Amino acid sequence: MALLTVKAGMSFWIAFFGSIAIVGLAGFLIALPALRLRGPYFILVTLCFAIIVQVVVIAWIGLTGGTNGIIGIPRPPPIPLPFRMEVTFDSLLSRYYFILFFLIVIALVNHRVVHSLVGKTFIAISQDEDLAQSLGINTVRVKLLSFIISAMFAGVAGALYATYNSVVSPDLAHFLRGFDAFVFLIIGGVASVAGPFIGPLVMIAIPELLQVVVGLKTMIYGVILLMFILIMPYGITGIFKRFNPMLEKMKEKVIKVSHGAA
Amino acid sequence: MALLEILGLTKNFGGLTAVHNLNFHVDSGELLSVIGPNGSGKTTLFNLITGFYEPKSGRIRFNGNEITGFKPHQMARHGIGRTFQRTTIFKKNSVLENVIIGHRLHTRTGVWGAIFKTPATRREEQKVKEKAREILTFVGLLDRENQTAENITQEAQKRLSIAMALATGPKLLLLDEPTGGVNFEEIDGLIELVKKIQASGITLCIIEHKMRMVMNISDRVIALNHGEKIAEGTPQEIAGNEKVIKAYLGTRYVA
Repeated sequence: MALLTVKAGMSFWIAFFGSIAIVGLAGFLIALPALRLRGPYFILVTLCFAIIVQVVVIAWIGLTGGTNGIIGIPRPPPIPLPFRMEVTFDSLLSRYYFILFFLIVIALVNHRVVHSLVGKTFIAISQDEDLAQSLGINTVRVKLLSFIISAMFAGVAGALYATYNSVVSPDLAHFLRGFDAFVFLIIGGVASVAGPFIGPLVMIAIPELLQVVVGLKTMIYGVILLMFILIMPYGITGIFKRFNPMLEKMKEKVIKVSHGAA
Repeated sequence: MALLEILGLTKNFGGLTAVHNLNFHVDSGELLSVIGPNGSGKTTLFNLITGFYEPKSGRIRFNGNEITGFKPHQMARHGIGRTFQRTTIFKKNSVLENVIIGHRLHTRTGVWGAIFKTPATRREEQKVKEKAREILTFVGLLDRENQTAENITQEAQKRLSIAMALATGPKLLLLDEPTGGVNFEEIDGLIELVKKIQASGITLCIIEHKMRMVMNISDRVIALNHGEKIAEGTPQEIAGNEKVIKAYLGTRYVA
């Protein structure tokens, strides 16, 4: 995003969607070799790529400005509306809504995908890859697809961040940033639409509330993460799911009662 | 006519020969049982036929096509369905969803269709649901369609795993111990199901230990020991075969 607008001088929206597409493509290229592996080996390879990217971003000063980063990323141009009104993005609040808009879009897309045949296939593979294969599902292709989709989601986040902050620096490329997202996911709950919303809410709120020193944050993250993995592997949404059968039974009863009344 | 032909199939794991120069065929419409003591190479054979293992040498022909070296999902697409020895189902999904995923190779919904919920996608989702219910009716699980798969009985899970394999629309169905781990009283019900599948025109190849089941359902039986075929014939012939008795019970018991 930053490169396309500042260095290549592209207009905002072309750069915005272009950068998302480029991230998707990068995801595809990384996934091609990485998906030959399964489980922890796959994770190691993707982690290595993250570290390589970080090193390249810092070293390639000509392109990325090195440790100085890139400054002066433009804001979105005003969107004209009928009756000579327009939506501008000058105030902080307007940029908040700008990001909120994309959050809602992504949540919607996510919801649709998860509940579709495509999403069911993703979840099936995560449960038992051999079984999925025996049912005629080309698991490598499906995993590639899921990798590209999640890479593009990350691309949206990156483009939004660059727009919001108007400055990007190489510490954003630090692989621990990815680790943060991972922690959010575990805490919130994997394989759920609500999980990624709840996770960051809790994990950003806790250190803020405790008013801790910055250095302690990582330690607190670690302790909380360990506790979650040991006690609640499906995160916060997992707890609600456990109560779901109870809720469903109650619902059934209510329906029966109301039918009886009618 | 032979639907499946196995020609000189061999598989090694390091120094161990799991399947050695195996030759047999499965005729269209028949039910062939594969028996043999533990470690005789039965499951390895299934994994070879369904592409989970690559054979060291030998050929697999199916429906007149050479399919040696195909990947598992390609085997399924060619019409070879299978179940696994350990009952495999998608535990966290509902019974209905399991069968829907089983039918996935016949559906084409992509990411765009999913995101925009196009009319084509909706139609397809409806069609898949109907198809899945049809299969659940066939195996007798329709009344449990909304239950989470891990909560149904072991016997019902066996039925579900068969239903998923059926959902791929196979010409040949490989069942790895369909009565493994279920109660004695429940075996007859599963025998009925297997017979019903055969009657619907699907060719079957079954790994089985329970002789009651083997004698009852098989058209033909092949017996393996140490990865080699030691006998082939009707259930009666196999039951009286000296080599088979020896492989199962040891030399002392041969009269």
